[in-house]
Amino acid sequence: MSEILTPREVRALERVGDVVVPACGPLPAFSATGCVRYVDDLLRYMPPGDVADIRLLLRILSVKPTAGIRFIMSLAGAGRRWPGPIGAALRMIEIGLKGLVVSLYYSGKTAPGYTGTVPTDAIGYRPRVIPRA
Amino acid sequence: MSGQFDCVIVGSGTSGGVIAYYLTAGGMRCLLLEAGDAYGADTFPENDMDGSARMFWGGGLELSTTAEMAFLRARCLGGTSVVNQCLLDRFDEHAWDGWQAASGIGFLNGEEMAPHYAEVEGRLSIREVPPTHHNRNALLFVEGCERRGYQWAPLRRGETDCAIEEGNDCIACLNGCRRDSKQSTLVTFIRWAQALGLQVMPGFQVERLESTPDGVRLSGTHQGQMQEIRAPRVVLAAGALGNARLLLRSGFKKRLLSLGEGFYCHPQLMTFAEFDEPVDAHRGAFQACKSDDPRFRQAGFKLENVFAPPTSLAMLYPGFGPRLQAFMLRYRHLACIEVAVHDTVPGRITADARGKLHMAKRLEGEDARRGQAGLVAVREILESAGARTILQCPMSFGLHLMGGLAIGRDERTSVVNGRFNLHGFPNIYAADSSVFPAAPGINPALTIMALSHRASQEVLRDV
Repeated sequence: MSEILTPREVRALERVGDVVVPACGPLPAFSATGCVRYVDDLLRYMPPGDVADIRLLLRILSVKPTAGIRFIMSLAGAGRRWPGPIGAALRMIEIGLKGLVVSLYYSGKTAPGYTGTVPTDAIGYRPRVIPRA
Repeated sequence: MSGQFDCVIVGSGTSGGVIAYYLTAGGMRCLLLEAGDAYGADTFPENDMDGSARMFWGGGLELSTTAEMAFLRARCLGGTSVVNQCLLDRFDEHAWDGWQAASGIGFLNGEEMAPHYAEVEGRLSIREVPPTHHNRNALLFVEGCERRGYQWAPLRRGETDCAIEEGNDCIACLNGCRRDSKQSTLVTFIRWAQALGLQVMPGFQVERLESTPDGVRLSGTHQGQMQEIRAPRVVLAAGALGNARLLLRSGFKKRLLSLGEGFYCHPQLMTFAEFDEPVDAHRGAFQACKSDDPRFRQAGFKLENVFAPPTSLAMLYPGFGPRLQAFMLRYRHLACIEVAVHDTVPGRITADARGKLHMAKRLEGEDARRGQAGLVAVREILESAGARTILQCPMSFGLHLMGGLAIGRDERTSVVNGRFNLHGFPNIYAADSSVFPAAPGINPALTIMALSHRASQEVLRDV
């Protein structure tokens, strides 16, 4: 599925995704859309050092229960209020993980054969581009 | 590669495109290098993920050292001019006075820069966004401003035909304008220069610059291969971060002590407000109005009506899980106003041994006070317009990346002189946002073009 992430890292990303953007009303859960299969479209443009950091984080999260992932995301979110290097590290974790998840989720890309609601459709985001005559 | 070009231009954005055109039109053989790829109306990415990943450095965002501020800078042929809103304003006297004080350069005033503004304006299609193009987000901005007695004005954009009446949504042009309406350098100056013989090389990342007795030597990677280019002169137009990185990596800090200092970015703070009726802020003209109130200018901020695609909105929302999802489901009911701070606290750009950039920049001190004053005004405007709930996003970000190679007379406090040469390096020029000696508090694009026109005349005089 991914040439950059291992299957274990992909599974961890799906679990993080379901914590960040769970099913809610017409919005599907992250994992239900199958958007994770496009993760390489993002990662191949990121600096190698950032990709390495994300992979390490995903490997750590892969052994955590869902409650643990939720706790880490809460802690990372609280990093906004923390000064110093610890706050900076927490903010980077939040931006890195959340950025990856919401970029994939709101890309409008879904797995082949996906029949559920596309997240962009669920929120009413359908920009029109009128072709030039 | 040697002997083929009279000038190499590093960076193809607002400055690089303009300089490339005027030098080529002046008879010089020029090569324009761009680290990113070349896209066009038929090939611009159609979703935000691909747009951010492919067309921006860092895969979308770059962060300050404390990760409190995010920077967006384009990485594609045409640079930031391809992905911005092409807002083209001249500086006011307040901005020029600040530059005079910071630089001591005589021509940095409205009168002497007027011919350069006129030259570039005359080549572009620039118009004020008319009231008929106001979407509900803009109407709420105007309504709130007028109820509070704040002055506003239409934004002035470079565009030919955005087909708003036909239902075109300009939010899509954050990944490049698929109608070729936006007056980016990609469809204006670069295209015109190519017709005159400009050579363009996308995908070339310059890593080192060396001043040699007969000119300059540039080395970098092109499609994975190391390449070297020699030329009599080079114009650096890779922006505040790109220029600073190249010069820092190349050891220029030993001679240019102020290199990387004085980094500004007009930190932006977004406020979203929920309304009972749909706002559909993503429809039609993406931006239409700005504050035009002398009290705001004096207080050190300006406001613009703006919005965000879903990915950006989700990133700006402080939280995750069901709360985030519930917020996103109100997407069509959200309006937005941004505060752009006229920042006065300089940041610093450094690069480590691997070439990784570090931007030390915080919204603190006077800048934080300016931001707070702007947020108070935004809240007043949105409440006056009938907002049900208001969300002020905690993260700030910078789109106008300025400084690092400040222009000035004093070699100890500046990097570039009044002829747009690096102090002590007559074959190396820069005239883009990196030379800004202070933040102007006004959209910088048109002034970058005007400075670039002036710099091109200096280069032509030197040849």
